[in-house]
Amino acid sequence: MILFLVSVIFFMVYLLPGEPFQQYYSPKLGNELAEQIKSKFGFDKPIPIQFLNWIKNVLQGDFGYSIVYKRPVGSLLTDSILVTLSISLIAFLFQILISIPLGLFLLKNSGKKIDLIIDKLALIIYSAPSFVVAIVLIYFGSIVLKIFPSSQMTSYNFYELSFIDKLFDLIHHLTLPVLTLTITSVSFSIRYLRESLINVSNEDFVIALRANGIPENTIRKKHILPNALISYITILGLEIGSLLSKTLITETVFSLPGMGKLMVTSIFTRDYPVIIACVMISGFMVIIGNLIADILIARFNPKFSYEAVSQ
Amino acid sequence: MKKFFIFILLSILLSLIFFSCKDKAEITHPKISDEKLFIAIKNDVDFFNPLYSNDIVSGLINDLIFSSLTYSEFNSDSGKLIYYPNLANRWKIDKDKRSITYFLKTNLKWSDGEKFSASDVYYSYFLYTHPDVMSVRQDVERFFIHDKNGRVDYKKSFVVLNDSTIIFNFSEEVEDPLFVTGLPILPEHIFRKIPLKEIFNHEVNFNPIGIGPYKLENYSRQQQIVLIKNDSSYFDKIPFIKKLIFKVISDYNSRLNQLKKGEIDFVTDVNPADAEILKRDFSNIKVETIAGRDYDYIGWSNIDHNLYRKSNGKIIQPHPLFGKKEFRLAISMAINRKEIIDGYFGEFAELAESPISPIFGEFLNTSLETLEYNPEEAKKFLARNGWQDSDGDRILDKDGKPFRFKLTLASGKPHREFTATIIKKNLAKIGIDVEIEILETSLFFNNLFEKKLDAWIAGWTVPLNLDLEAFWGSDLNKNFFNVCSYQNPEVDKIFLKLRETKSIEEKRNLIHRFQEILQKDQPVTFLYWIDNIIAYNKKLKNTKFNPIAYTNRIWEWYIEK
Repeated sequence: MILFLVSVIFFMVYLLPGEPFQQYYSPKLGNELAEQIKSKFGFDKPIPIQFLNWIKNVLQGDFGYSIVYKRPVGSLLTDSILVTLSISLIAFLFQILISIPLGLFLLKNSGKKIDLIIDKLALIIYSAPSFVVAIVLIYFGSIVLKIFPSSQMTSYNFYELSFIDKLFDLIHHLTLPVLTLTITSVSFSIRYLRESLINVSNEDFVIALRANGIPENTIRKKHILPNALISYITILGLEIGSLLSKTLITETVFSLPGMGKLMVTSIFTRDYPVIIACVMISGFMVIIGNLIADILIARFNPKFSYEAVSQ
Repeated sequence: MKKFFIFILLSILLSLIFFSCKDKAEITHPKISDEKLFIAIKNDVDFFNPLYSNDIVSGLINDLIFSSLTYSEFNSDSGKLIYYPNLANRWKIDKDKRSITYFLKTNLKWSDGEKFSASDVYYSYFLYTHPDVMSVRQDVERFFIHDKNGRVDYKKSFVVLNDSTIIFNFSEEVEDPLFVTGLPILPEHIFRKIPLKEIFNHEVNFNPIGIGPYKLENYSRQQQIVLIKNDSSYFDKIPFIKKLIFKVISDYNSRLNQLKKGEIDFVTDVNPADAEILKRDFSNIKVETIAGRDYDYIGWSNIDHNLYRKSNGKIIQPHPLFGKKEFRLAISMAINRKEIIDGYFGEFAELAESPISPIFGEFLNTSLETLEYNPEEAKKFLARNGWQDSDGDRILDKDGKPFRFKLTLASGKPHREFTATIIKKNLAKIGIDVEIEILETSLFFNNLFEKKLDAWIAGWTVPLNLDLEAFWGSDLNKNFFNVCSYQNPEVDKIFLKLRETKSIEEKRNLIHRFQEILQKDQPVTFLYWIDNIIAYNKKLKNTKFNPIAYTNRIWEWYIEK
């Protein structure tokens, strides 16, 4: 699957007009230097041969050399993925921690004013592009309150700090980006979870439980929530796959050197080796996300368990 | 008698102390705080190595880490570079300008403590000119002596007399030997260990050992570059500001917000509208401009590029619309360039009539008349040439073909988008239908260099040595940057004479004539010269900006307490 994806992307990227070697054009040398560099890195060879060479190198753990960043792609990816994963996984965790209690709260207050306000607010935030959320947060957190920095991942003197100070410095810098991702994710998932919770709460078995006099709180937590979580988990699974693309805008606004920013820059500059490697990683994340979602669904819903399917 | 001798001795001693302190007193300013300065940059450094660094930001930062034999400043009155001693104490140029001898400072050390000597200079030029190194500055090799295989003869070209003396020998007379030998010097003891072909992707490109006023303290990719003053190298250029922190902030609005908030002290390339706001509303921010050598133009395909491409450059015919100079002149007259400047740039740009910027002083032909906005005249010219609105659709036509063309520009340049809108409006008035096409930058330049565009808006930076043949020379194979395919034998002759002439006056006359021809031929419509607008915190003092680089003489900047 990944191989197919990468093969398609490889040929598509090479068919794109434009090339990364324009940076080496100069009035005196024309395109002479660009041709020399193309030849050095084997970009002057026919595309199928370049593809075979690339596959051979990737199997040996070598993703090639970034034409734009002038670094081995492997080391670029390692640096960038750490940034992306750190902000997106924290935001992902916060999203779960906020969405579930908030969903139960909305179910409890279903149809009331507070339910409608939160629902509409979630719709507004979800409809707005994530950079708007980022700018609003920068405005309040950074310009009005002057608490958080508006860009960069660390302070200028990060390398001089102790381990504990480094940790606090990271938290200080990453608060706004993580908040941006959390708010946008919660606004998206809470509407699904709320809808799902309300649907389950109207099912016959819930009415029967109520008729038997089981406390409402117990019904919500032990019967409605586990059933409603199934669709929520599916969405979470898809979200893991889209972590990379979701962080893209956030990384740009906050000047964070993550995968999203790396991918966009490499697309605009036609940095072929980086584009292909990023797509490969992204593909892996989608597959892993779906796999985790399938496992969790099977765990929470016996209907989808291996035993149930085999019967 | 004894007392008298003691008195004399004491006097000498005191005067010695006084004079030795004087230099120090000059560089120690009472209000200086030995602080850090935060500078916003829009992109990361490509290489910490002048062999390869190829963009403006990288060039500026590398110039702070590495130094040249001389340092130069651009004098806008004379339009020439002025040179001062740097790694070299002094120099001697041969009478026929075929060689230059440098006498180097003897007390300098690289930032790793190694001693600097003439062999570093030799090896630097060996690296710049060796084809295996693939330096972006390898074109400098054309000035030096070559062997029978066409390679630079290093032994004849760069002669090390002793640790502090080196001679550069040129293949022929060089107009400005200091310019040719002004490349940053690299440490031989570091580069000698690396095979030439491996330098391009070697780690050394991100761990620089230099001999500049600053050295690299920390580099975090896409985040920041921290430079700390290099006490060990210079004795005459120790900077006042201890640390320079270049923060990579790609988003323009973020850069501006951080300047307003005080997180950043220094921002370049400010938009004119924002410059006005900063001037008006932020009393702690100072706005200054550096008169530029960047101009925007509308490029016209002077030849039929379709035919040219299809015939692999064999068939050269005038472009069906823009092939005639009178035609291009008429269209230029129909474009209100002043409206563009007033509408977008205000005081931060001025009309361009040729590719010679006003900063080049005497080389600018001030006798050129401004090409005035005259749509009526343009309309009359087009009518005389058979372009009329025969079907009443408000678009001129000839032989059943409407006067319509695509004006292409790269995305992400708001001033060019504004310019395109005005051009469309102006040309619509005389019956020309313009379709604006905005292409992604990489695709735009791909199409531009492959000669796939008919009309476009772009910009060039004029080289300081006014070597313009690459942009306007008729040989389209050789002159890759002549993207509008302009060809004029008289201009070629001027370039030839410019190479041969020894007289500054003749050079000036030739460049004046070149501008006259270009204005008549209108291979492109010259639009405007753009100032670089700089905004910085007022606590930063003693800044003197030069067109060569805003960081010129950065060692003299200080931060007021």
